[in-house]
Amino acid sequence: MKITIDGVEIPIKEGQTILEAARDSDIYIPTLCAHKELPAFGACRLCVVKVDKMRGFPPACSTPATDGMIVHSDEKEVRKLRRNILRLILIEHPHSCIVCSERADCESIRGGPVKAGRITGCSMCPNRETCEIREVSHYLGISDMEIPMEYKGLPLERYDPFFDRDYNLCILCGRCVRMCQQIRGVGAIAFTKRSHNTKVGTIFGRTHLEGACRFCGACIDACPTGALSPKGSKWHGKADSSVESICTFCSMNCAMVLEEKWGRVMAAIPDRNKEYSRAYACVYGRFCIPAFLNDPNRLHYPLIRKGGRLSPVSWEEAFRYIGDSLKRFAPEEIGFLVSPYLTNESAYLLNKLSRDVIGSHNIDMISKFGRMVIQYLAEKGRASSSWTTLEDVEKADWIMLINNDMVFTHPGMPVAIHKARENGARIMIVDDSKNELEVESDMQVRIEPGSLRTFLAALTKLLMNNIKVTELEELDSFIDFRRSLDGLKLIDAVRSTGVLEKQFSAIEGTMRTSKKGVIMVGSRIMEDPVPTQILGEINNVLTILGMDRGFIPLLEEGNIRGIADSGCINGFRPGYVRDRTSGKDYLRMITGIRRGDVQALFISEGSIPPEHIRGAKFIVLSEIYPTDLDSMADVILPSAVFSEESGHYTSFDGRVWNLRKAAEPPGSALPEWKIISGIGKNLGGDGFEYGSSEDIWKEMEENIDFFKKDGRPPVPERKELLSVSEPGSIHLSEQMPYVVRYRGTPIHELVEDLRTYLEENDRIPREEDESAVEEAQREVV
Amino acid sequence: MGMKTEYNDEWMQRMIEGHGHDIKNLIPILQATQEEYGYLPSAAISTTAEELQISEDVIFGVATFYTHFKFTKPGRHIIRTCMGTACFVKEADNLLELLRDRLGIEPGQTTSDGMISLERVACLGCCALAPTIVIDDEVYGKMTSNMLTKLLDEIIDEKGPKEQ
Ligand code: SF4
Ligand code: SF4
Ligand code: SF4
Ligand code: FES
Ligand code: FES
Repeated sequence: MKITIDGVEIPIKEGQTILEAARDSDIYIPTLCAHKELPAFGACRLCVVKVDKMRGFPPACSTPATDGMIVHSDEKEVRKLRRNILRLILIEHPHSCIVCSERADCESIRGGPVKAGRITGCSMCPNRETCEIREVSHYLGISDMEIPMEYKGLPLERYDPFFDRDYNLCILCGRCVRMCQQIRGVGAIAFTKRSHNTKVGTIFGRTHLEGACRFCGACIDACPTGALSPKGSKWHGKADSSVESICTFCSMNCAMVLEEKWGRVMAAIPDRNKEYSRAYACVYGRFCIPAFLNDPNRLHYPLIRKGGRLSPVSWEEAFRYIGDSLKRFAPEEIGFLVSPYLTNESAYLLNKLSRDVIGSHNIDMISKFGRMVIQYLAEKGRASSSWTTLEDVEKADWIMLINNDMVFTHPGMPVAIHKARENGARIMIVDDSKNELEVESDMQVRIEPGSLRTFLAALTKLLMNNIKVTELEELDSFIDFRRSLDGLKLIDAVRSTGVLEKQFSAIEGTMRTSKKGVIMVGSRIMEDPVPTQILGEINNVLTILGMDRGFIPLLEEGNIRGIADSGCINGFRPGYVRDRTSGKDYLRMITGIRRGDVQALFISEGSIPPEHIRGAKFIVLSEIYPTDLDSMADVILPSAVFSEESGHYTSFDGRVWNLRKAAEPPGSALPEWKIISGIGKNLGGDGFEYGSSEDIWKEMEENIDFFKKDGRPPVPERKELLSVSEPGSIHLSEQMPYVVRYRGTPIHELVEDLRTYLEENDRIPREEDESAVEEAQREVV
Repeated sequence: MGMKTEYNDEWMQRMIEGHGHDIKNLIPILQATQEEYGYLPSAAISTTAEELQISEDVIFGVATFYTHFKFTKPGRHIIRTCMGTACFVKEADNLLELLRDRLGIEPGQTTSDGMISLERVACLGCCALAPTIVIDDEVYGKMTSNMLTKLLDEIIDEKGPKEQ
């Protein structure tokens, strides 16, 4: 199928509009309200074209292309019409600079926008470099305006965290509103009032902080004008350079373009060119990266404790000192506690350093939930296979969300769930406390705290009643499993969970409709004294349903998956090859320190409670900011952050991403792989001679099946059943809500606006309450 | 005009149940709400948002599109000034200014004691009488500042003794 635009024949696809077909063939048609990720809206009329045998001037963005159509876009009559339409739009948009005769000279002199209270022209607009109004004005050659401008005189909205709003620049294209409602599934903003008084706003003009806004910034990135602008990065003008990288704050690893200016990362913008993940980026990735990475407290130089005081030294001296000191300990007296934010390459080298060079098998990850889950899966032989992915989520027929706070821990995930729901998935929430996504779900089941196991057991029993499981009966574990279910009566489960019988059967019925389902579970299951029991019972459910995929643990830390893949998990070498020599895991190392079995530690982030490591004789700490552990460390090594090195990260679903260097580290800080290599070489180890992190990755790809392309085995069949626990409620241990961090430092500690947002949502104690909390903690310790 | 029922969340939920939890029923639900309470109480918007699983902001956006919907409890007396073409030509804006000044509120608002609401309307269909003002369903034509002041005095006086 083909159409002709201005005499050029171009192919069209089924269901495409004229605009989409034109864009696919790189033919420019001016637009303002159209957006690649949004359905056509047809509001601005700038895209009008002439079509043979059609009356009037149809808009290209919402007119379907049909075979043989003859379209005229770049034609005098059409251009004139578009020019007049744009003039009408410009009446209400400050346009003095657009029609100014001195424009070219002015812009060559003024490199960036002039900071001003109110924006009354492009020269004062932070959006100047990427403005679509300027682009279309230029294309249409607008050089004069016969009608005077009408400034709306609306108050500036500068009272919310993260971004400012100046609706005097707004052209009512609705891109922000549609983005927020249709893609993010939030609906924090809407068109209010009508005709002349129409304005994008919130209910009763409430602030975004009080309202539903999640501060993802998707509206800013969708806005063609400067009406919406990020507070933190609006005035620096054009970036000096930019690289395609990712956000490392949570395990979703959203693709980001990092913009560098004057040697620093100044902004991180969701990478719109990546089909996958472009829509997900959230408040952490969109707004917090520059402020978090550029804090003046970053560590600059290696420090060694001499006579009780930490003093700066050269790297050679630090490496030598570490080498000499470590030699005083037996291999099994040395432990490695690994940050889940290191690159895969660094993790691989740490495994080499500890297991091969030093001969210590005490190596584990600093993490609670992620460590528990991955260890569990690795023991079951399931960690090395490909995991359930974001695409599986988007295409699922049902999704069950168990005990999680993803709106704050993985704010990108609700976007995928919204998409799934638009595609017809049923969303079921099973939670023992309030879940922010309740308004976006089809079924909400609030279970009694401590009754999750009973809920899962009862669900299992119902499924067993309705599904033939002849194959499973041959399993060794079947008899015990069956027997454990016998004792369970639905009526008791109803009583202890608080879930009605009809809710149980509605859930069970939904799950039986399709094997394309996903169960997501969050870190609040860590309140259970034996969380692996819950994982086992979830596995029961999936096994009975005959699903070999469909489990998503909401892993928190940015590269927890990747460092486990690369060998920093207890009992497994890179690629989940069993380590033949056993070593201590995190908890055994902690108790080992108390007993004196473990005496020296290499720790790569300072998030561990100091009590855990008290008593260790020699502590090397690599980190990016000062932490509570500093007073105990013998050596502190300044590490580079993710924007200052290259390497690879693996997201929660097993996707491998490139980190790319955008700026230099401060002072003499080094990427972690160089630090580890330096220590390795000083201990006389071979295999630390790398020119770049790329060399390490090559070695991993060559030597480890897991990292080879298509090297991961298929998902093993889920053949195991776990006896369910006795019905009744479990005593839960209380947990602080997880706060998003990087290399051990909570993001909100360095980003004031994030603190405001999290406080407002009760994710962190309010500043005035904080001293009270500290007081209480001191008493516990 | 005047006092309608107090807000009742159960009534609200039953009413929504009756319409069905579908976003396409939003307008009828809002209409029923206004019918019952005389305006859209913010608690009613919250409940509607929860039941229909859309945000309050979206509801607000829809509701503000129609001038019919009110967000503040109507006062005991409602004063409507016509701002249609004919009345405008006859300087109705002076009357509005007077009302604003005297009542201390903008059109669309109600005095803090809940006594008087001020509204502006587009043409009442009796342009021959311009400028026109409607007070509680009674139409006053060929209005002057003096007459309006007297009428206001009457309303405000009436309120006086009742409050004591
Ligand atoms: S920041 Fe995100 S949630 Fe807030 S209004 Fe914009 S798109 Fe909506
Ligand atoms: S704020 Fe921007 S995106 Fe939103 S309607 Fe106005 S111009 Fe369009
Ligand atoms: S924190 Fe997670 S969801 Fe948010 S931008 Fe970063 S990777 Fe994406
Ligand atoms: S882009 Fe087609 S109408 Fe706006
Ligand atoms: S314009 Fe006021 S009644 Fe018609």
